[in-house]
Amino acid sequence: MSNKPRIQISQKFMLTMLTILCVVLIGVSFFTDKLTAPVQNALSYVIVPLQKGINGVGLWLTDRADYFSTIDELREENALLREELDELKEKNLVLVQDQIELNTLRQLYALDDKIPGYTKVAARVIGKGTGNWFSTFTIDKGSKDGILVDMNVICGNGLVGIVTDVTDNSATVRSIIDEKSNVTGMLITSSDTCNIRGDLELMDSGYIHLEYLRKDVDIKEGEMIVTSNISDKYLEGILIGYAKNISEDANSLTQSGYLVPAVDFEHMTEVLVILELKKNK
Amino acid sequence: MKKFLFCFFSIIITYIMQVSVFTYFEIAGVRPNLLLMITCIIGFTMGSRYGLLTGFFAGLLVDLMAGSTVGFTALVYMYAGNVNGFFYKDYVKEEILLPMGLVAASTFIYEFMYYIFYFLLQNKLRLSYYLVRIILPEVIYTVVITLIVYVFIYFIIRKVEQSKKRRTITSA
Repeated sequence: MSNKPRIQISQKFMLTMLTILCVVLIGVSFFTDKLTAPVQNALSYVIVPLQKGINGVGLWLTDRADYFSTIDELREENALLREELDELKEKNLVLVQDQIELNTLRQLYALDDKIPGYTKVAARVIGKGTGNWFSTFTIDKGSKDGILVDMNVICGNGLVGIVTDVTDNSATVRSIIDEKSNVTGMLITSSDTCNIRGDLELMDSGYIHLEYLRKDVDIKEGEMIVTSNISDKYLEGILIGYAKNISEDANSLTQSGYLVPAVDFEHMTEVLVILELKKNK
Repeated sequence: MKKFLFCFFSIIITYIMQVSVFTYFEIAGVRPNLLLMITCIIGFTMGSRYGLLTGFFAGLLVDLMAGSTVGFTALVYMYAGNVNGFFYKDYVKEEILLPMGLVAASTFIYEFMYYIFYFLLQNKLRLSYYLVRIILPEVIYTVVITLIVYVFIYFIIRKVEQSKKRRTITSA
């Protein structure tokens, strides 16, 4: 190495200073993110393009791998699907009739403009959170595309989660199966509200909790739960999932059980962000 | 200077691996903790000063990108790097058990603290579940990855030392 005299910072000093810095940062981050937001933004310019690139390669590779490994599976599946198709065609006929009825009813309720009327932006999932404890993920659209904190994220027709953090080029989404997630839901038939809570302990079953539903509400297995009108962050009428195993609580005032989310969180590559905040409505 | 650059690029590369590549290699929904692993490896192959700094910046990166409590991961990773650096003198490159043991212990302690601060304090008391379902699989997975990465790093270190030797011989 070089022979120049260098300023030596003792290790203990360094450790103490950095520890103090960390503690201060922890303290500050409980109150505000003003301090870290610019750094976060700057970091996103470096990290996000790299992440996008790697993710693209990964998607391509899994595509290739799938292509070769699944031909046999596909043949079997095809036969099964043909059978199913016939069944579904029959069912579809019935549903079409229902749909017509639904449309007329919706118009009556003036619900029509509520659900399809939102402007949405499609985003690609480019990374998950670093740890195994929380179900958050990163998408490749940020404040440059008009995304703000608290915007709702959907996939297909089901609710995925909510934007918790935005940089210029990326956003962090907390999914509804996350530990910290709480959504107010309501029964699509009777508008009774309940609370939908994510739980890490249920990660293997694929369910989340459905709680605080009034005892006298009559709920059927597989009943649709949508986001409710009283939530201040989630827009009304987005499908969350289907009720399962609802039973009365020990307090005999409420009932609770599980909810099967409408979205497949394991295989989610693209999501839609609704560019509308509930509080602005 | 070279060492600092090595640390810097290790952090960036492992972070990208952690958030994108390894989402395809999840085993039962669990991913290894690569950043803590690289912190430990740098700790005992380069000394506690490098370990400390790598840990601090790796943790800070995690915290900033996750957007939650900034500083917690940085603090724990920093101490992990520092403590691992104490084994710098004892460590023999050919010995594989020490790196594995250190990484396993560090990951376990980090995850356990994470459980305490983010779950236990929120009245999630089923320690056995979290231990068996999240912490232990993660520790085991991380140790397995350590084996692979360590062999790779071992070759780099050997190459560097060989070239150094050659240089000293030619200069003498």
